[in-house]
Amino acid sequence: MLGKLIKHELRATAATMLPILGVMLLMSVLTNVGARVMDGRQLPAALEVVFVLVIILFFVGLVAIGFVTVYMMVRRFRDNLLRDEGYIMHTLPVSVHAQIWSKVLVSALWYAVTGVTVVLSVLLVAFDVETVKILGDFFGELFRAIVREDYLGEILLEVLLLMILASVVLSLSLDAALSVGHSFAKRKMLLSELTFVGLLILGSVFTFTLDGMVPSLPDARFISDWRLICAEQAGILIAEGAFCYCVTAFFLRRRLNLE
Amino acid sequence: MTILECKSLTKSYGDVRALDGVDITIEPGRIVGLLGPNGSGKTTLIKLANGLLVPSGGEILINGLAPGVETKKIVSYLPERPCVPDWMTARALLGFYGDFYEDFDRSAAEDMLSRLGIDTGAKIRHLSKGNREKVQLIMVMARRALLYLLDEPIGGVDPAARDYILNTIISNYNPAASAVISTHLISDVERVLDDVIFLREGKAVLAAPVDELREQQGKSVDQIFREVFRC
Amino acid sequence: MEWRFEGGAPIYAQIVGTVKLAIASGELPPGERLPGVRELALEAGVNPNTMQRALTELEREGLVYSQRTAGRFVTDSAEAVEAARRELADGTVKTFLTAMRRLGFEREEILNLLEREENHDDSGM
Repeated sequence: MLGKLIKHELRATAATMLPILGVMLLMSVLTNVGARVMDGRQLPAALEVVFVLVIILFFVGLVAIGFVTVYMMVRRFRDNLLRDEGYIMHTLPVSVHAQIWSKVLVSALWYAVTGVTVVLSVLLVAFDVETVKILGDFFGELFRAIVREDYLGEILLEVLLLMILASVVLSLSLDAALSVGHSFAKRKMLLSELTFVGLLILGSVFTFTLDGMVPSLPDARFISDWRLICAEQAGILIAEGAFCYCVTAFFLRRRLNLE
Repeated sequence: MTILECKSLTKSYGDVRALDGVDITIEPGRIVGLLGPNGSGKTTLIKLANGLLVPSGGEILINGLAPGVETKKIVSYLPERPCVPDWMTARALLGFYGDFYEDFDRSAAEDMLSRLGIDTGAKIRHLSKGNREKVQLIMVMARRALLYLLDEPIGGVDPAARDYILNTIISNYNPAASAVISTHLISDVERVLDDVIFLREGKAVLAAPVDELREQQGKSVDQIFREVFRC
Repeated sequence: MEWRFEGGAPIYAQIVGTVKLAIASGELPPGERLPGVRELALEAGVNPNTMQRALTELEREGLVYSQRTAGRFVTDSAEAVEAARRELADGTVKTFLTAMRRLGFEREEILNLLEREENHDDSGM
């Protein structure tokens, strides 16, 4: 059943996310064109205003799109599980675990896709023959470095895995906050926001305490230090994620409060 | 085998007891009216049976099991408020129900939709209010479930829609299945009920077959209801 | 058949009454095949269980019989139809008399009224 939930989740979220990401990419193309057309040329004032606007919008979009994706995922979780649609979703013959995993995995996917879109947008803005060459050189050099240096590939991979893990934990903490906030009769969104702040505080206290407990290894070589940091970060994230998961599952199963 | 059983079922919200020690059994093949004024605990009982709420005390069993994944396979639920995802088309909704419910009779649902002239390619949001409600009813009644839980299906609809709803319930009736219809509009549903359960302030105050009540008291259930709940 | 339900009598009993009237009046002729339970229930807007109970009652009274595969039929027996007709007539007369007595009419007055009403009808009303 998890597969079917994910299928419907993808379908539902794609309906909002694809247009948003599409607009972002379109704006980067327009920015690219605008920058070139305006470069050293005198344009009619109206056209110039349009291009400047597009360029401003592009930068605003670049900053905002991450938040937009987070907002969309929050809204989807709330509308689908904690409002009217919840009557249908919570009476499907699927476990609450499948419900949570389908939401979290699909959210994490969209965070990743958003990340890729941001990178792609920047590339599209900078796109000309010269940048292609520079990029080609950069990636070639990077690849050679990965092959040459023992640990570069590992570090990049670990950073990537940590980012994916962090996005999963972000989804889980948002979902936990929403589930707690919506178990109350009134002021559901305000209480969700407060719960999220509470979870953030709890998370930093936890990290802080743990930092004090784990001894640093001043004599270790760079890479083993790095591995330790990674393991510690992953451990913290997994613990936080597990906590948020349990909170979400408990509140969805035992404290559901649909209107 | 009892399809639905409540044993000293209690549900409190804070200090308020929405249900207070309810004992009920519903046998297969019966259409049961869950009757009571607003706030008597009808919706709470139905939500408990669907696992949307957890009892504060006592227990509720569907086919011998506490509400969960297994009971949701055999229960078809019409919530009090419209809640189908309105950004979907009716066709997408058919796919959704077919995916999740093995007992969903897609051709029966398509048949009912086409008889209403509903365009399955249109978004639910763009249908009339009446048709949106009917789409939801069709999805619920096209399942070949063992227990239908219909929460206020005829509240706030016009007489034609009411007849449509009751006819849909009768024509999808299956002797192995039971249906619970909650309502406060008794005279409208009395004819289709086998049994009635009266809820008052969270307590089941009367449970009997409709014809038995009429035979013994020489009154319609509607009249009896008015007497029991006289203000 | 016109389906109307009222008052406090059990619904199955009211269905029995409606069908009986249709048979006695010839609206449902002897040997006529009846629709299925579900169809009849839908037509009358009642619960199929209630319709089933009414049909069982009609079978018990000998006005309807069922053949295993072919369905349900109105009785072929003229006596049974006649008995139903009598029974309904008795009931109607009883109701009529009860109502008239409550209004304070005696036997003679009632007969006079009946006769006059009949002549009235005959005179082309």
